[in-house]
Amino acid sequence: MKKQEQEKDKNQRPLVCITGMGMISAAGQGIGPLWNACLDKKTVLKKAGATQIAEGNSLEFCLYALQEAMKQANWDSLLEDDILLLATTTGQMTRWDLPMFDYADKGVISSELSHFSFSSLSEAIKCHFSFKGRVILVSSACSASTQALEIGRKMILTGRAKRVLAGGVEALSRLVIRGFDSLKLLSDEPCKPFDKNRKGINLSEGAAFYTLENQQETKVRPLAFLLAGASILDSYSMTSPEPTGKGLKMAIEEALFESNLVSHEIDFIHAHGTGSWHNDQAENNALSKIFFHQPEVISTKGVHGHLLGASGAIEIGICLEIFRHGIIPPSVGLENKDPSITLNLPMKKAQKKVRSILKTTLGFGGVNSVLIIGAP
Amino acid sequence: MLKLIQSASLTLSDIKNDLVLDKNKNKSLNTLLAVKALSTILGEVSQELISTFDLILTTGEGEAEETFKLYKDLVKHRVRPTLFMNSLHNSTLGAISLEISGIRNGHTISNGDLSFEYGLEVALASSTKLPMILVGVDVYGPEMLLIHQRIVSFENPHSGLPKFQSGAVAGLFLPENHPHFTHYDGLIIKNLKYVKRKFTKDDLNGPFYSANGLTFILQGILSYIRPSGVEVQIIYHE
Repeated sequence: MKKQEQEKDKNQRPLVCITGMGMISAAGQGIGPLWNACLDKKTVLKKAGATQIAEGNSLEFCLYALQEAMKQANWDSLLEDDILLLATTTGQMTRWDLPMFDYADKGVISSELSHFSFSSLSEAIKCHFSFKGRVILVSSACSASTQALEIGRKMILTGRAKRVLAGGVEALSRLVIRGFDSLKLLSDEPCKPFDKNRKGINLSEGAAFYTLENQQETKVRPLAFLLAGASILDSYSMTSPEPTGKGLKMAIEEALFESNLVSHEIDFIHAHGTGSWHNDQAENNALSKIFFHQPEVISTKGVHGHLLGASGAIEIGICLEIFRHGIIPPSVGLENKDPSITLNLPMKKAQKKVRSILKTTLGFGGVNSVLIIGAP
Repeated sequence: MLKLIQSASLTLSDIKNDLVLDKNKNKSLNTLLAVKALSTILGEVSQELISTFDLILTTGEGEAEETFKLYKDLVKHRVRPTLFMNSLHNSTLGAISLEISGIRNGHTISNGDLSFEYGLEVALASSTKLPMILVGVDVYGPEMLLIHQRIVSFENPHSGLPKFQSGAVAGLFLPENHPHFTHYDGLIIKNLKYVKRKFTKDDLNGPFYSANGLTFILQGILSYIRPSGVEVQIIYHE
């Protein structure tokens, strides 16, 4: 691939690589069980609407995923100059769920609620790792972890950090589940992205983090290269993407330009694919206007559900496995393709050597974010 | 490097006329403050030009006030969808993009009382040539005021309490490689550094909110301390 041959991007900057991955999802610890479920076209969603991991909270999810990523990258500890980019929309909301109900009911701010802050999660992580560096919270809705990885790439490219840990976490509070229910977005069965019988989304929880390093300085074999990323606001609606996919299309075009790739060099697309009609239409419209060579497009949310701010990070893990195994999993939940969808949605797993992947995420507030990653 | 060429700093009293308007009844205070701050710095800038601007919204607690309201709904076994949408940490960014149409790119960045500074770091790392707007906004209702006072007094038991005040700041920055960078006067920011030290009584210097870092930069202050006990050092271009 021309990227690796050059070892530099089009601006003659060294490439940023992923050197470690840590993950926990409703499928279990690590990428293994999740990858197998994707290949077997098997959902791990135990409960319609929203699936919680039996035990654990956002802090525990983070600590597990961060430690696993660091272990794989051979990082003994976090250094003061490292940056942690932590994407989440809810932080430690599950910690405050009961005290908030108590407050709403009785009007008393309990001692537990006295610690209520969006930054409490980052403080707890810093404390656990005795980390004195910067923890930057990215909370741009369902695009948050995609943005975190892109910000991490730029932090390294501009020399603001030598090493970055970036990813996302989400734990489901009653507030979030009831809130999505009020929007009538939840499906009472495993979600069916791009299917004509789609009924909505499934919420889920977990965490995924990645160590990012300058390729010229890393001591381990990269898992992938972060080639480019972009975000565009579509200024259309708080809850729905712009139907023609205008914002997403602009984000993809910008990322292609940044990566120095042309559209037909993208071998595979991991879509946001939430299972909502609005999302499916916007993605279909944006992707079909750019990728005339019809690369395979899948959504894996039918396997693991929608992890909101952490969804981009979890799904990047699946993309790394696609590089590693040379297998594209099927688009899970897809049984009867919506006739208005023109994308190439594989129903069965297939072997393919994949060199470049586009990952898309679309978030509340009209935040369209994409990443382009390259094979090692 | 980023050059600050336009700025605004507002408090709740600056939006009191907006609060009574019917069109604003479902909007959060964060949104009204942030939009007002943005409108102030953008002035008569055309939408065509705005469509080349990137926005970084910084906030310590986001829409925490709306979250408290939502829980009060929940105990009554109802959830208003609009209230849920307004309670999301990112909803201010979405609401801004609907109010000031055409802004190109958006991020929401946070981390306690370093929220603005970390947003500035993300802006400094951006590799585009495009103008960058940074907004800092925080609103303290009675619950968040009490909680913040408890957190700060727990961390700084002998220092006295800084006065919390809701507010918003906005700054329009040009990156170094923007064609008009040299045409404008303004403070040029090169970098930020952080030093851990104790917050003391001597550091009680006026009203404060989590994302108000720009107010210090506007005064050209070289270093300032946040109640969390982090001294921020701004490195300006001479």
